[in-house]
Amino acid sequence: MFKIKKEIYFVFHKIILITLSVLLSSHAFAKVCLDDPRMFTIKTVLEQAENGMAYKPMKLTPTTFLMLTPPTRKALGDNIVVYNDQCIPQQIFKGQLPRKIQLPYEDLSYALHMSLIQNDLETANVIFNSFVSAPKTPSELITMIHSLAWHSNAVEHLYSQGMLEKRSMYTPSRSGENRRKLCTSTLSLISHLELFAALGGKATKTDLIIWRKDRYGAYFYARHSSLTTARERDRTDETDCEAFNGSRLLSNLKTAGLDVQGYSDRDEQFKVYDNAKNPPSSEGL
Amino acid sequence: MLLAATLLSITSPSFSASSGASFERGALTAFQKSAWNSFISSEAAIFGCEYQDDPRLNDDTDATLKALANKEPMEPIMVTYRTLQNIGPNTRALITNNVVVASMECNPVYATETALLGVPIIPFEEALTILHDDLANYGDIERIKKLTTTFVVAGMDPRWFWSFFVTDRAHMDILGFDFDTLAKIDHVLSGDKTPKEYSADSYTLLYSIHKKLHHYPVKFYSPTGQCVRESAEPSKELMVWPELTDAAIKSFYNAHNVKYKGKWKTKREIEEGAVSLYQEKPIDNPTVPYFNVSRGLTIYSAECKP
Repeated sequence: MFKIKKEIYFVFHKIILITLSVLLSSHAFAKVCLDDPRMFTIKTVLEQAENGMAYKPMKLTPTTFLMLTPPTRKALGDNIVVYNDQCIPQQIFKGQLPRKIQLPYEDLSYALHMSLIQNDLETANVIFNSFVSAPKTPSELITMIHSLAWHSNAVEHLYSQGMLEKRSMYTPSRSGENRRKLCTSTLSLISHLELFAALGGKATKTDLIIWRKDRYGAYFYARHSSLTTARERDRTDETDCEAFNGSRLLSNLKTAGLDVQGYSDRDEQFKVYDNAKNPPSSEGL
Repeated sequence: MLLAATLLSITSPSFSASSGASFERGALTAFQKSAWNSFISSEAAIFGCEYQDDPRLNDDTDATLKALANKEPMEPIMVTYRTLQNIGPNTRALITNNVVVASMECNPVYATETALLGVPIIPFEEALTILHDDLANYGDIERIKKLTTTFVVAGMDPRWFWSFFVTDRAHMDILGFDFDTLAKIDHVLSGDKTPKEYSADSYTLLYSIHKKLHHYPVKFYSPTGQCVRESAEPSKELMVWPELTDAAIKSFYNAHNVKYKGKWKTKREIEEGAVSLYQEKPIDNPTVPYFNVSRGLTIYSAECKP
């Protein structure tokens, strides 16, 4: 048995849920998108489809489109339009969306989670192929460094479908051979940041993230927020591994479009970074 | 959404609840039932909806079913997943003419006669009842495995959980469940070859099942988003298992990574006519009306660092 350091992820989960309820009540986008009311009578629509009767295309929010069972999606065929983030209907053609639809990460991860717990790998692949996560600010991104609270079966599907790469846990420094063996043979937890990056998510702007690590944990600093990962309680505990793979987190931040530096002097680093990006003008001198 | 299609009964289940009420076959007190219903309502209200079977199904059944049969324009009928499982195929055929399945997080879940389109978030009691009744009716463990992929158990405050679901074998029928049927479900979900032996005083069965279901966390969330600690707990009259101890609660907290501190303080005197071991201090203006005593055990909100 080994202890897994837990991140503070449940508050994020609650935020996800409440945000999601707002989104699913069709106020997700700048404009209001509503599911076709015929979804309540979908049985009738499917009968019409089966009998070869003509019917108007079903207009669906992206989440409802993703919640369709594969047989239902097949039965409706290309007689589906899916609203994009501007509430503009996108006609399905040969079962595909014409271009990727951007959705809030919370919507996408929810739809992905639901498809994976139902072993609906077809829909999971549609999510990765046809949708992309909406951008988040650098401050928001570092708060996503906590683990997915998903059932292990759902996580295993992420790996088996090649959606994410398996990585081992991080071995604390000055670890003995036993701990090194344990940690390198134990799967790292998946963070929301990693899933966000895997879903094509990017930062709203390129900015600097500073990080450092000590015996008490890892620290990530955005311009207006910071995050500290769990403390390492007992450095001598041979069963204690870091829950996240640190290099993986740094890689995720870079994939999301952020610049990452090791810590020296936070305020000075942001100042130097800003100056490099926007050199002072020499006009008037 | 793989096989909800085959999991909605094709005949009327012989072992099923006659209504959609929570703990219908149990022997909970009116106070306990009311508290549970209040919990369900308040949780769903956070997301902006109600979680219940459509009142039209009870208030005006014949007219409602007739309107559905004629496919008259009307507001969709809301049913819980439990009700959808329980009703006979003929009634289901009518209801699914215009239906939405209830979900505690108000996400839209549609349905055909044989399949859900979406994943309902349902109370743990409902999940237990669906699984329990299905195994009792069909005895098919493959159905049980598939059923567990069709819903997600709603999150809950740990104190609600241990009030109702940390209980020994003798009190399982108070909840309305057969212990051995639930033990079989636990075994099926574990994937182990050998079923676990549960002693008479074992109290872990229900949260063992819970852990194996798709579920949102059993956590206490601070209303402010900041780390808080609370000593407020349910009073004894809410607890299904009157002999519940703080040791059992701590064991449950450990299983769910709920941070806590302290222990129940014991009384120095034994009250005449009853043995009351633990001190219960009333709390004025409790945040949750049903968590209105403290005993010395403090629970940390999910926002607190581990």
